[in-house]
Amino acid sequence: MAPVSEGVNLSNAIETSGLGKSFGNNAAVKGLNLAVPEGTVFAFLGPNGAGKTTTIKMLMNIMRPTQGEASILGIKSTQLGAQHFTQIGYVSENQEIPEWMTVGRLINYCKAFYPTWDDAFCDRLLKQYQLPLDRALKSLSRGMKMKATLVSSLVYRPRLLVLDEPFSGLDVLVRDEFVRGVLELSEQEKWTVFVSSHDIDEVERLADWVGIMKEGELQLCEPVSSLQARFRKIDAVLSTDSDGVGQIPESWLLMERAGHRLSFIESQYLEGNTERELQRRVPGCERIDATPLSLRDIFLTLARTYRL
Amino acid sequence: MNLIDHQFRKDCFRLWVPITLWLLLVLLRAALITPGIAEPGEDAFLQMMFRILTTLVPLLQTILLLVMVPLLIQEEPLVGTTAFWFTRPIDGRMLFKSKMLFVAAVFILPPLLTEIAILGIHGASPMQLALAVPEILLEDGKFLAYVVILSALTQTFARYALLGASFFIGFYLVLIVAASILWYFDLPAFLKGGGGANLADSGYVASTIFIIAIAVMILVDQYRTRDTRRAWIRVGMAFLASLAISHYWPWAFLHHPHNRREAGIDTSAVGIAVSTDPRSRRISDSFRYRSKDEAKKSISGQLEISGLPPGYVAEPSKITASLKFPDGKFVTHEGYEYSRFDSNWNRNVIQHTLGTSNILNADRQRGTQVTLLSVNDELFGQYSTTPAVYSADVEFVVKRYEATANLPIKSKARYDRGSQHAVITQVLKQTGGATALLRESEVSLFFAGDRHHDEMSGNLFGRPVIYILRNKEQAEALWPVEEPGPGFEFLDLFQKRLRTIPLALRYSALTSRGQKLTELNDHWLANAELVRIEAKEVGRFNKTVKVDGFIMGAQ
Repeated sequence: MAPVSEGVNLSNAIETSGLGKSFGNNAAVKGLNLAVPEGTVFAFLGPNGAGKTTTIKMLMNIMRPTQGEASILGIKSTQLGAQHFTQIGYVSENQEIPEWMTVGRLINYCKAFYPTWDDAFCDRLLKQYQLPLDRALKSLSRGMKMKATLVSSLVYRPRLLVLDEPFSGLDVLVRDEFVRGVLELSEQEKWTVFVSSHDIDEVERLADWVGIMKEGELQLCEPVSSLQARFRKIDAVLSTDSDGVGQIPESWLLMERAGHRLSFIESQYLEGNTERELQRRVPGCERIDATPLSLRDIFLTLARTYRL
Repeated sequence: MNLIDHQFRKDCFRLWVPITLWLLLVLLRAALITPGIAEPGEDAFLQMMFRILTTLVPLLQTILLLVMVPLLIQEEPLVGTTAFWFTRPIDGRMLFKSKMLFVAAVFILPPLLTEIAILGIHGASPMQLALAVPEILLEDGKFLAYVVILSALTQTFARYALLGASFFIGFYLVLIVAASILWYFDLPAFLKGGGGANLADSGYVASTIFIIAIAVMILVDQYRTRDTRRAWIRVGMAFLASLAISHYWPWAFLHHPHNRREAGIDTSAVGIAVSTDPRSRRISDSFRYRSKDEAKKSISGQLEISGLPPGYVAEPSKITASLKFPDGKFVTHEGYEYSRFDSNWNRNVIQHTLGTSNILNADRQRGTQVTLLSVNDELFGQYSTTPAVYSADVEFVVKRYEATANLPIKSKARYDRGSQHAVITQVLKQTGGATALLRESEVSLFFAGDRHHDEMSGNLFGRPVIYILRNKEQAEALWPVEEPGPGFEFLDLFQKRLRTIPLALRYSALTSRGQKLTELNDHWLANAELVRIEAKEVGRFNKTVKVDGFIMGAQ
């Protein structure tokens, strides 16, 4: 499956070209070509160990790539300096935060570094997330810590918000709050959000673009709308005397036949075309249903087909 | 400056507990050092406790510093991929400046200022104070450079501690192995290093400046690039380079006034002769460090020095000698004499300095015993009875003995001159004698040439001071037996610049057979005083001595 990132007219907040990182003989990321249009919410998906965090660390200039290059907001990632981080927000489950600080002290400490820091916005978010200013971060739950970090990464209105596995270890309620918060703000502020996760359910609500990584390689990269438009679950009822389907097209995935019922996933669905093709191949088809798939189902289909 | 200040204040808030502790220790140390010779406590127990504290406090300071520096640096670690500041608009150069501001404001300035103030209180001259500043900065800067670099190249305190301990042990293991190898194998002369105290001190200064400069450069680069692997390679190379610099430094840019080349007196009338008295000759087997070294005989004799102005002594410091036999055989020798004040006080000159008071318990000195020659056993066996022509070029250190004070022998009698102080803390009487417990303090500065970098602090036996007990009325004087005073075992090894040395000076008017040299009783002591005599180096000169018919084996 080739990465799909062509045909984008928007300017890109993130672009990579042949980006790679090796640790000794182990290649964690291999020749990544990626384009994240500005103003989109990009879900960077993949199982654990797929190379998502390594990619993000290269994008943020925390790690140096061993091949290729990347640009963030038009700046080469290896030249990303302190001044550029006034426009980038970064929240990661792996990030070490100064836990000895209270929420208030963290906010005050960060504020000095951002010329565009918005106090009113900060107050609103602190209230919205019900963060206690006088509590030390180390005494807060994981969810509260993530929210505090998120607030400190949002209130200067970054052009790009990078979230690396932000939902790990958060309970359902906090996740929901977190996702809603990011979604609302990204829509209001027209930010670019780049969110990596192995949790598709949460990301589905956020994302309008999706990229899927497997073993350091990008397997897929396209708008969620296009992805959901071309994936359908096809269910057909066959007449009693129907023979086998024979040679099936490459785009028909996970085909199953149980008695008179046939089902598969069409990955290049075009209304009418798939139905006609199925009837041509299986003349005894009596009823054909095409059901849209969730991002999770699409991901699972791809995972099962290509062993992601 | 705004962000530097912001970061600095954040670090101060983060570390306010250890900072407070640190400053308290700095003040406590100052409070312990400030009294100098006027340490509290009349009895030996209190004095001993006081000395223990003066050692313990700097030790605690060192431990606290070893903990605080990594806490400071690793608050924004330079290693790893998870630090908070990596993805914030926090500039590495700003962080470096802020951290260095903290190091200067907390670790360097308070100890520097308090020590300078203490030296000032103890009478150090403006010149001494000026010379103390670079000494303190170099010493503290070098130590801090190691700790800061180790903190900057490790991610966590545990790794820092583990690496630090490993390096410490590893360094000494390597040093022992290297020293053993260097000792066992004869290295080419150019690899041996050495070359006198001035060169060694210059090498120490050069290598210390090098270490501090390289540490700053590596640190700046690490804050800029966070390329830890490259930084470690540089640290390794710099460490080896610093060892090479300190050992093989070629330029003696430090010329301590004590080591000046001029004689300081007119030496034209000074005559040198090797005593012809066979009883003054000693022949001994030379000590061998290695079994493969050739066996040698060391021939020593007395140098008779005449024509010196009254009150002056000349001590041989270096001898370059040769011995020529009638058959043309030629032997050369080069040796250094190490002067030790406890054994090298010239009794004749001390007697002259005292005037009419006769030293009862010291014989008159006939000459100065020196190693004239060192030859291998085989040659000695062949030529020990053969007359030969001996000639030697001898370098002498000229010293003037000066009585600088008379202290009545009673408790609390003091001597104060500039930065030199002494006080008698107790006088203990005993049959036929008395012991004076005395505390001395003095400012000893590296850049003033008072001390060499490899000297232990509190070098008790290097003191150029002697106290003679004198009863002027009876024109009698007693030579002391000098021993460490109470608390000496706990001598503050960290306090080099203001040394306080406790001494026990034992004076006995009894011979070894118990015969009285004088009636030393309360009355005698009531009229007695301690005469403080100092040996002051005034210069150096060289003289050549020649002996025809020199027989090595004559004794």
